[in-house]
Amino acid sequence: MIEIKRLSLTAGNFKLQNISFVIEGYTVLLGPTGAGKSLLLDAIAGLKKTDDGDILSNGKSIAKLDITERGIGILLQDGALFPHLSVIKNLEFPYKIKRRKPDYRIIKSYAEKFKIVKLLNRSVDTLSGGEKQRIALLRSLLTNPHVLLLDEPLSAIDPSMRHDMQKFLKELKELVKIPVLHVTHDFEEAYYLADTIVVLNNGKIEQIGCPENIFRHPDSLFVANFTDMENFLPLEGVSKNLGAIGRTKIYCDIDKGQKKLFTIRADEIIVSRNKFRSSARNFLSMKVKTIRDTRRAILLELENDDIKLKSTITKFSLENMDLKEGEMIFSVFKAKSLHELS
Amino acid sequence: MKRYRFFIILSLALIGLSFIVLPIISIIFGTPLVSIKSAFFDKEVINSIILTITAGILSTAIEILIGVPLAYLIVFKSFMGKKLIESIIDIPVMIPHTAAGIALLTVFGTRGYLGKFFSIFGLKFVGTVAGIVIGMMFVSITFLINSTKEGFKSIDKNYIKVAKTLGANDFGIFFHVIIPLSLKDIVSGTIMSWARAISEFGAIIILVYHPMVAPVLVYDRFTTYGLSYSKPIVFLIMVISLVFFLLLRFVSSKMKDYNKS
Repeated sequence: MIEIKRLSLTAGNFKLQNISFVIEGYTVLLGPTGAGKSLLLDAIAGLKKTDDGDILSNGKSIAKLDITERGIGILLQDGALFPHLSVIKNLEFPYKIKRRKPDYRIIKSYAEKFKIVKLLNRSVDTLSGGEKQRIALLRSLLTNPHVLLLDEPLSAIDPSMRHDMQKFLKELKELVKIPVLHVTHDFEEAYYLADTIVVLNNGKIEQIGCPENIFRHPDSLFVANFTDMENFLPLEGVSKNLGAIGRTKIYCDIDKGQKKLFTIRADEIIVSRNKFRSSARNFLSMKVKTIRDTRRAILLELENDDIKLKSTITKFSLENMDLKEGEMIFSVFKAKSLHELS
Repeated sequence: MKRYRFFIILSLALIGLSFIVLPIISIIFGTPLVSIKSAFFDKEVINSIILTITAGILSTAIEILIGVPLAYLIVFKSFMGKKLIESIIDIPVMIPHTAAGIALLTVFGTRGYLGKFFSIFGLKFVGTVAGIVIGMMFVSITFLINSTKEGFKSIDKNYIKVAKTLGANDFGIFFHVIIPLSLKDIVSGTIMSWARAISEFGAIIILVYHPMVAPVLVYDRFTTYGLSYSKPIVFLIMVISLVFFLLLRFVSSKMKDYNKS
């Protein structure tokens, strides 16, 4: 386990401020370009000096240690395999640089697990992006690191091969049994792979949580926007547990006179032609403005005089309900599904 | 109109090529075979060519030894006065080479600081092979350093980053990552530097008239005996240089440029 404690560092005009989190299992550091993800990765690896804070590896401080003594394996965007060396020579590099005899038993064992045995005698420039990443990952494991840092490992991979590599990374924690910190700007990638997501923006941590929690319950407007939150409802309390936008009343956790911004995912809003008995208290009469096939689901854009909502339904439901644009329907959702943004 | 424009470009290009080719052809076809043969068996000519080539190799070898680490420091380390040092490195190609010879004489001459220091070990630079090597080095080291610098600059920094995480220290990174990845540029710089070294006249003649390197011998024969006596030496120098350069260019072309691939 790696623990980052109140870490701060300055690079030009950019600052990483008071960063604290734990790398355990498969942790994904998520954020937009310029958030400071790679800088933080460099700081953990020992490639950048920190201003303040500490980095603990299994309880011991490694912040003052040289990069070669930190026990950190790193995988960069394109793998950074040395182009002047063959695959096997790349794998021998961590041994030879320390004047040690390569342990071919370990290399072979990992090569079998990573399904790259056939590539060992190949030249680096004949490999695909995914093959390069697997070999680079294997190479970094040969130093027996306490943690693996993966810097946007899928960004240089052909989109058709990305899914295979994602599956491989998903299996990685079983294969290597050390904590992994994976850096990405892609929320879907983070959602698929992570045990824990750390959202970084402008040098500060916005939220830490499991993927489902980040997806359903964003702590801030930034996280909501970054994770493509579909619905935002600015409500004003008209009585206990009842808010309003214009003449539209919505049951939610609000007191009279309070103003709150709520979010709700499109898949938590169902649609119906009729009112029905349900534990959901919010039934809003709305017009179907557009119906869009988004490949994974059907996205309905609904509106009334006061609000616009997005709802996703299955293709089967669409055909079953025989919905058409311009028709009036009920959008139905639970008060509990509304998440308040702080 | 298009053809007319192309014709202008072609004409200018041919004038440019002729500018280089004509003097060479004039030497090759304007030198009688008999005088080439006698120059080939002239001990003084052959000795001066061997001296030029070996002194060139020696000076280039020393330049690699001291120039590559200097290029490394400039590219990979931060220190005060780096820009000034880079400008100083360019000076030898900008000043007249006779001036360079005078400057070297003030340092390596019998009364110069380094001249005095090395004389303790019996090493003298005026009228010796060591002086020729020093003269060659001064005028050619810039080419090696600048070419090596370009090679170092074009290395993807991620290779260095990864090498560090794999346990390599600065020394290991230098020999196992930086040098192999920029070898093509270092070899190119070496070729340019050696070429510049063996063609040097101005700086060397101030320090060393005897033993004569080929450019000095050409000058000596020309001023003493006239054009017809200097032409066969020029012919031999041209042919030997051409063979060397073709060989080196061939080796260089077979090397992979990892930083561009």
